[in-house]
Amino acid sequence: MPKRPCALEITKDSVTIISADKFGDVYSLPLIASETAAPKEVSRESSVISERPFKPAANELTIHSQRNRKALANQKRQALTGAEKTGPTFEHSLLLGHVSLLTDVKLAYSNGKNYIITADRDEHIRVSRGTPQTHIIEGFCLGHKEFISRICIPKERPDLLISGGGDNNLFVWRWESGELISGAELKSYVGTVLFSGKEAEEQTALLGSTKIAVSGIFSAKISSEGEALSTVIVTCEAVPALFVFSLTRENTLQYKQTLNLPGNALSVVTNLVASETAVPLNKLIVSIDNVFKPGSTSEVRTLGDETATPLLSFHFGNGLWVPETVFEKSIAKDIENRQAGNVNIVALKNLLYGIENLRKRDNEDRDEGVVTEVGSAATEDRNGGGEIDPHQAALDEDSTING
Amino acid sequence: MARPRMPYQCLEKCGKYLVAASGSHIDLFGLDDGSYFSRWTCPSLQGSENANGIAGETGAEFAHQDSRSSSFDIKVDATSPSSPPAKRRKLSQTGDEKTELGLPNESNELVEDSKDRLGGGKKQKKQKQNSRSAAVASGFDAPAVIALTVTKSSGHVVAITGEDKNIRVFELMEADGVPRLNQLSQRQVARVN
Repeated sequence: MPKRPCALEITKDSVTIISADKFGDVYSLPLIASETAAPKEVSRESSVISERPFKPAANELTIHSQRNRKALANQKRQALTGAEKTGPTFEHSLLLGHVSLLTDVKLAYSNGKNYIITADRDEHIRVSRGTPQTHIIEGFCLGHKEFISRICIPKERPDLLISGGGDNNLFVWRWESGELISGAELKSYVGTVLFSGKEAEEQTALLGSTKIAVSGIFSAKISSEGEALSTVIVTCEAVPALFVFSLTRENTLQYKQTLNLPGNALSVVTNLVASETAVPLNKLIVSIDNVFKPGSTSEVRTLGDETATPLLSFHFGNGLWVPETVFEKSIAKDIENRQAGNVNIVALKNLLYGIENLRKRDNEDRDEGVVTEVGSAATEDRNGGGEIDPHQAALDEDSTING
Repeated sequence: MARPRMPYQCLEKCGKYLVAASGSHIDLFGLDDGSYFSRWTCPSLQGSENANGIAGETGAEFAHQDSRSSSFDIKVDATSPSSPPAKRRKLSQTGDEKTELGLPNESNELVEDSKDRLGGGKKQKKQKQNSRSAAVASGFDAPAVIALTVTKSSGHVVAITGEDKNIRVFELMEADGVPRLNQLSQRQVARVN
């Protein structure tokens, strides 16, 4: 069965793609595929296979009946086609493996050494050595109680790692030591967006039963009055807003601003620079969902309500992000092109909103009609209070070796 | 009736351009003024199979199975009509099941059928997976882009298309002053062991 890659990174030198997939494997492949490479010698896996080709125990001299002869012929044919089947079609090599579904991969650099940081559904963030010793685990960043969906290394603070997922908080780590430095509450800000029209009491009640799933963490460097500010922009699945935090010198995330959007935030591009001068523009672009209603992953917008532009841009000025209208014109101009053939709503939902599905089912059952505090205590129990699970780590290592 | 426009599920910055994936398309915009330049469209599963021989997921697997199984299974069946596999005739109901799931490959039915009789449980399981992914894939005309990334030098764009599990590498090039993405390679990530 083909495995589906779910996260991509490209090395600094722009020659290698690092890909993580849903089977928990991370592998590298060259950016430019070499056409001449014979599958035999390019991949570790395939060479292992070709070294030990299937050989039937019997041969033509040891079998006598017609039926056995046929069986042997079949075995030989199968061995041939089998090898054909398992041989990878392109040059690649397996770097490391998790026993869980991988959600994100990042390449990190520190003191001239490179590392691969991977996050998975089972609350682990693993720091592995970079190529060629990727099987060596340098450490873990453990503390998440729910799945991790995104990790981010701020460009101007490469020693830090910000992670988010199904938890109510964002985490800030010093990834090389695995030390948890700080966290930032996120859920209450999400609640403010989702339940803005509601009474305070109702808001609290609704918030208790709400789960958030971080869908994006983006670092943005902005220069304000000659000073460089490091900010972090967070999106949550099916939430029509951007949450802006500033990364302080004390390595904490300080909430700054919520940018309300006319549709659920999907993706963000930051750190835009002027094309000629490379001067930072203090701008960001966000894509929003213009098919589903804001705050929903199932309700489709009604006919008159689909005017929202799929791309919006914001500009940072006077300490706040403010909307611009750059993209609206060109998007509108190009409306013909952008009409989708047949938007299959279910397929679109699966494409846009897959992160909340990472949450474990037993949690869902447990939380039904139960006070949240009880729920989170149970989570803590299940994961041993965020302690390192050496058994799990050993398992991870095993899977790498057997890879 | 105006259909809803597809939103952009992935955005990336590539030099002075914005690379934005919408369903199975990748659009290029100018970052300065938001002007639209060009669009790359992922070939549909059937189309890619016919066009360049690098098949999409469902097509590839079906073709693969056919070539693999028909090469020996059916031959055996023909040469020795009394051979054991004939006992597994009841497995032919996989064929029915498949029809229920609305698979487009009805023309393959006959081949599949004879193969299933011999294939046994493992093959049956595979069949089911195929049906499921085909159903997922059928949501869009072509595989959707699920991840995008750009090289540091902004020269190449790498995209993953979900349903066919391909890693596609593009080169950013300008033709007549209009930047566009030129696909250099497409590699299907097949399970290796």
